[in-house]
Amino acid sequence: MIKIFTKRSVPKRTLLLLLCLYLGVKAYAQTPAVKGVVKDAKETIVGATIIAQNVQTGVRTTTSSDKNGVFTFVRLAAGPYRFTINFIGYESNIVTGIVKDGGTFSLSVVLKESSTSLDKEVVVTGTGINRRKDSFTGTTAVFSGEELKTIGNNNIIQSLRTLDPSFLQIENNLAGSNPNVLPVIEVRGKSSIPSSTLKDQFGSDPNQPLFVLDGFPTTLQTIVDLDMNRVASVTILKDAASTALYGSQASNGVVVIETIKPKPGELRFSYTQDFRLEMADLSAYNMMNATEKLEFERLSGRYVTSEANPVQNVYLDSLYNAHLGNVRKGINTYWLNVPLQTGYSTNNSINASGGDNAFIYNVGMNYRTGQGAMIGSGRDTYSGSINLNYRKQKINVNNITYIRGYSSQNSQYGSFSNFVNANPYFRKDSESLYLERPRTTSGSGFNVINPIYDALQPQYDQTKNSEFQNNLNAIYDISSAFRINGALQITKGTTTTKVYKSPEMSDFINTPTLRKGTYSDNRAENFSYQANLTLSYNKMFGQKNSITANWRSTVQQNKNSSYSSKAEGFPAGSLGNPRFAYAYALDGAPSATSGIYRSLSSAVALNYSYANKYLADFVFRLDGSTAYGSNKQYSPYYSFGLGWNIHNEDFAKQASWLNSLRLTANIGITGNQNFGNLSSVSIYNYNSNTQYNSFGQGLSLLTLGNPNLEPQKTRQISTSIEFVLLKNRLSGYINAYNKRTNPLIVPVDLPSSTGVFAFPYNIGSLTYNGIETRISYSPVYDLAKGIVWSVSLTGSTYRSKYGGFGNTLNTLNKQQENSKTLLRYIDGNSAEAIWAIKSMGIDPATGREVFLTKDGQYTFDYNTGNIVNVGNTVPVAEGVISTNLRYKGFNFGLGLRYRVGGDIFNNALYNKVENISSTSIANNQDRRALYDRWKNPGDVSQFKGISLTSTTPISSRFVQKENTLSSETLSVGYTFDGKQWLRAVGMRTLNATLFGNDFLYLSTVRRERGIDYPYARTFAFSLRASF
Amino acid sequence: MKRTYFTLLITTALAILTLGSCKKFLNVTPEDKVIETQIFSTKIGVQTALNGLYLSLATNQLYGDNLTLSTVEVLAQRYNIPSTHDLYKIATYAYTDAPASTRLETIWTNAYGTILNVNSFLENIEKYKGTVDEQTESVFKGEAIAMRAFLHFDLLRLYGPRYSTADSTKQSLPYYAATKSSINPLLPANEFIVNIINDLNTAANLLQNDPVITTGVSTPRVNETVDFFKSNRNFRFNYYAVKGLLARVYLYRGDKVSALKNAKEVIAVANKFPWTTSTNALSEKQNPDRVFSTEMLLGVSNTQLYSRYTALFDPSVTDGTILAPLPARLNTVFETNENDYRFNLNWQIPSTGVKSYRTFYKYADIVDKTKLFRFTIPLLKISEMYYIAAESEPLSADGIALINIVRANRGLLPLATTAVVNTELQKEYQKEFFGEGQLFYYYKRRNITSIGNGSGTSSITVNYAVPMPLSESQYR
Repeated sequence: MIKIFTKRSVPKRTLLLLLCLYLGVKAYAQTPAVKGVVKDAKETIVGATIIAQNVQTGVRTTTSSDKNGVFTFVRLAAGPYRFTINFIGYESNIVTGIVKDGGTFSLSVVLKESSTSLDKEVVVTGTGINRRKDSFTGTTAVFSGEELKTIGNNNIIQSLRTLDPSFLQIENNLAGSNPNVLPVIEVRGKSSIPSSTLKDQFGSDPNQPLFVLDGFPTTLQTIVDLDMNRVASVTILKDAASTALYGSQASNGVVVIETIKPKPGELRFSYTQDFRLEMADLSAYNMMNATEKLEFERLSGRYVTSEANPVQNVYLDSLYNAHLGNVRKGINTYWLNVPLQTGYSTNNSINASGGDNAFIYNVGMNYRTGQGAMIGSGRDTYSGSINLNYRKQKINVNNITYIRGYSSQNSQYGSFSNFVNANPYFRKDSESLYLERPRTTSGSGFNVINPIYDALQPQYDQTKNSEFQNNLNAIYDISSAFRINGALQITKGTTTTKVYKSPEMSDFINTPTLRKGTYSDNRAENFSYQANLTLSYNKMFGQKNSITANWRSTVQQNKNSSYSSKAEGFPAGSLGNPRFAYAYALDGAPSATSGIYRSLSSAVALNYSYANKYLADFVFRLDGSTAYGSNKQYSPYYSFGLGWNIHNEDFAKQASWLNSLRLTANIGITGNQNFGNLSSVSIYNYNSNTQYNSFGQGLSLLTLGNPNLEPQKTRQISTSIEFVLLKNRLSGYINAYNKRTNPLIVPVDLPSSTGVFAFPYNIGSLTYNGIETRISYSPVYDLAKGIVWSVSLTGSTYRSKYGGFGNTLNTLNKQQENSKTLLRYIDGNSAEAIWAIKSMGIDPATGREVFLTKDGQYTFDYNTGNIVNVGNTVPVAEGVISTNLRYKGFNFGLGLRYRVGGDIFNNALYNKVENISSTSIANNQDRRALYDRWKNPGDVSQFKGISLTSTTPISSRFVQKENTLSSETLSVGYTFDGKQWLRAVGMRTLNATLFGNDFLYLSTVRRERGIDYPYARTFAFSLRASF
Repeated sequence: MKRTYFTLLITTALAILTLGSCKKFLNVTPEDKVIETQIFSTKIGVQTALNGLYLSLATNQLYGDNLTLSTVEVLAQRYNIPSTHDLYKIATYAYTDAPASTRLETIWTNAYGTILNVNSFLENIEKYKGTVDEQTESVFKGEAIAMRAFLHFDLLRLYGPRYSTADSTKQSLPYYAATKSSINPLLPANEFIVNIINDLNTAANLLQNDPVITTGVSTPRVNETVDFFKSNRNFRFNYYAVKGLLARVYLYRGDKVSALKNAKEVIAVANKFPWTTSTNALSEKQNPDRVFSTEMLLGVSNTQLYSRYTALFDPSVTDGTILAPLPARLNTVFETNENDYRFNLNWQIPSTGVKSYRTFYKYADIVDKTKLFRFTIPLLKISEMYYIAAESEPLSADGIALINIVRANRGLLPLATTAVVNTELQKEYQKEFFGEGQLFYYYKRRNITSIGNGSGTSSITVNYAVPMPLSESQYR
């Protein structure tokens, strides 16, 4: 399906490099003949298709190359001709020439293997409608599988964030480097309010881009688990013109992933080994040692009581002395490394392909097994694929079957924070449930639970998934201009999660014996089909007018269901077989969910270019889906773009320093469909199982639907300038965009008298203005000597603004206030703003915090009415500085991420320096709690009095400007190619690369990173061999 | 080329055919949720939806507890509430303090939530017309409209202004007669009450064919099948309940003529709601009908009732949390008259000896679990019709005569004709509606500002200005 476009899309520059054309004149016969030979880099090619088309008359003649790679057109009418040479697995080649009466025209065509390097000049939209970048007005970024693998060998998400400035992975400080937690990804900001209420169980993050794998939308999980060695290319579609083909799913951008296509020829296979080591990065932690901790406890008043209670005083004294005794004995336990290990993962990937001209196959397999940086956490993935391609004349059928799955385990050590909190003056001990038990019954001691004990009890928390998928694609060339393409994908998968906690664990201390220990079992199934049909039209009119038109319709159904149950009560020592459970959970009912999501769409895409200078694009798509109001099932989306290839203008052709310069601008409307189903329909529920009367059961309204709910629509205006200057040494782009989502869908609580809560409402707007750039320069660029050194810089920033809410979201803001978050939905403010009360610091006289009221008064009193916008988490600039040096087979790369000028709410200061309640004094704390808090009148300190255990409200004191520099990638590699010793062992190429990822993190703010799971430094090694 | 066009034609035709069935394709019926169309297209579905309204009425948040057993009774100083009690803030009228504010919020949101359900039911029965026959539809609609009026009326009585004049124009609450996501304005009290009366009149009209008129309450016998349409009419907004409610509303408005007319209409068929017997009240020790369910024009059935009893009134509840009056107060209310069925039957010193004072047994469970009057909380009884009529009769002697009818059926001697009607009625309201939530509204209607403090021997000034909860007021 991609072929027809690839043919036309081979750029002139490449052609000139590859093509030798010589004309010979021989008096032969009256009718001219054309003769030629087709070769690749090494040998002649048998069975290539050669189409000769008379440019004037349009008459086409086809032939193919013989066993010597030679082809002949015996009779061709005189005139100008365009010869197109195709062979599967190779880039197409076009040669033009004038055939004269009585002359013989000879060609020698060298074809280039298409997969050895990605053709960056083709924009793969994943819909089967591919565009020549030269004639496309959308903003896209294309990366080859090779490029991704020079960054790292973990997954493509990790590599993409380094390569593209608009592809941002949002920091998940809780989950750190947990291999079982999905990353949060945004392309060009958000397009909806982050809210859990509108998301159903099977919905995904409403700000996540759409991922398309081999032509069909897929899940982020599939992409994260995808074997990188199978990836041929990744295309990021950012703006409206490039994403409008995806209509209602497109407003967060689209990431299109294509896997390697099979190649004909003898059986060849390749093997890759990716090995990774992960080591927890604890440099951000700044915890007290035993002496410091005890001193802190003394100063903060843990061992004194205000009551005149001698028993209590004696108890506290003895407690202090016991702890002091421990410290004197030299107990200074470093708990942080207890749950940690050096994680590793190893991935074996093998791939074989071959076949003749009509039938080609590719079989791939991989198995990755890995352990995370926390003991017990791990993730194993596997995949297998069989790709079969059949091609005969005008028909091309491709079928790919995938089997893939994963099995993941969560660490038995639970949250890493338990170990961060553990007190250093207790001895590491795995025998007892408690590190310390209070010695009086007055209730003033704390049972200190041993964090190790739970981890040593039998338990499991594991998920297993397997999925089967089949993609069938068929292309039929109706004529030279028309082509029809149909595709069908079927996916079926199951996921099972089983969690067992043994009865000895601390969770069950206060549980009755017969209810100690729990087992829960959750089974989810999904089945989906997607099909599409595309009719394409492609024709040149005259020499200069080129028109491409596509009509594409899709249909899709996703069906999900899940069932879960819980059992409780296990005999002590049980390993967790549910056979030994006493009963189902008390008053527990099984829970089950199921959902069907369907969508239909029909899209028309038109592209016109004049002399390859002036370009125009138009896309219209009509989308229907079950996700929206029953009165508004269909919604239209469109885009329109213009472009100007300045380098093709006559005046620019004279400027030798200018290789390429293109200006594009486009506008369009796309949508966001990552919402749950059925927000539009009123849903009823049976009154709970305890409510009935003599008439039986009853039904009550659960949620009131909004049948007029309109889809969220995002209008995006984008402009872009792209350039290649100074003989390809300097290249880059600058993109600017304005992205406005209006209306948003917000779950609104209306006044309670309406009886309506979390009502999905079309209200307000969210506007993003942003800019992104990538500039790359090669100080050394000597292809002849095989040495290239390049330096590049990417950068992006954006600002967002809410509008049109009025006071409708007061309750939502109130909820945020009550749950003490930093978010608010207020007109004119950014979606990434930090909301807190303005702090004037600590009063040196009293050690109390002084706040600033809205009218500029100083006060000790905290009042939520004074909460204002105190910062913004979006940096002024974020991007990657990278450099790459290639000398023959040697390759060196370094990428550093910089982040300048964003604000951050420092949780370590908020939770571990202040806000240490009288109960959490017993937990280990940040060193600054001891050294930097106010102690005596007159101390000028950033933090309030050390003995104050009252709650500190969220204030601007904890909001800090953060500048960071982190090492995202470092790689050193060497490729052996065509060496004698390689051939001796049957190898064609051998590549070995060493990587380091995230090994360095510099920040102007000291805060804890990775609360529940630490961040990890990664060192990896890849070995690739092809045979 | 010909083939090209042929292929094109086929493709287009196929596409058009596909588009034709799109509408159907996109109408998905979820399996794990119950949606409108499924419910209102079957008779059983409509009945279940209507029953859902009654079940939400009977929840603890509304008439299962808050508006009958506890919160509103505490407002009327029924019980001795120590300062450590969860209801202390309610007893001291500190409405904006938690947890009082939370309770008032709960009542408000649940009452209006049920109103939304009622309105949605009414709209859907109209939308899916023909699912039930015409007579049934009329009765169902009548019941629902009456419930809407009933809820609005109690919201007015609780959160509204004191309705001091016959035509109070004080700002009150929003009235919702349709499901919408827009905000209705706060109406003046007189307009609000007109809406209630209109709804009740509409309901009475729709209930012209209510089976209660011909066959009475029809309490089914044990093991007899319950007919959704005909049985247990006193657990539904039946025709007479609507008439009784009209009498209650008119009296609240100060329209004694209309109140009397409606009350008399019900009194005329009083034989359908027979008085309780002295056997039941005084001799039946195992399975007494403590709430006098036979006299009930309207009641709810709360299957959680006995767990509420165990939590609130049971003798085993600690002194600090039990809902029980001070013995002196209780004796004053019942004038220490052991002959009074209401006193003798429902107030006893626990035989187990755990309490030295009388505790409230009205909602205690009985031995025979098959009795159909279990779980019942009365909302409107025939006795109130006599009281309303007594208060509305122009002649005081006629009023006393009506009160005496009730007294005769409570084991009491008749009052002298010279007795003051309002004094006697206040005593009667105090005795009759213990745990039924009517007394506070009586005080509020009569503007009795000083009442006996439930937690002491002194008097307390009642604060009738119950504020609108925060979830409402922050938009107003």
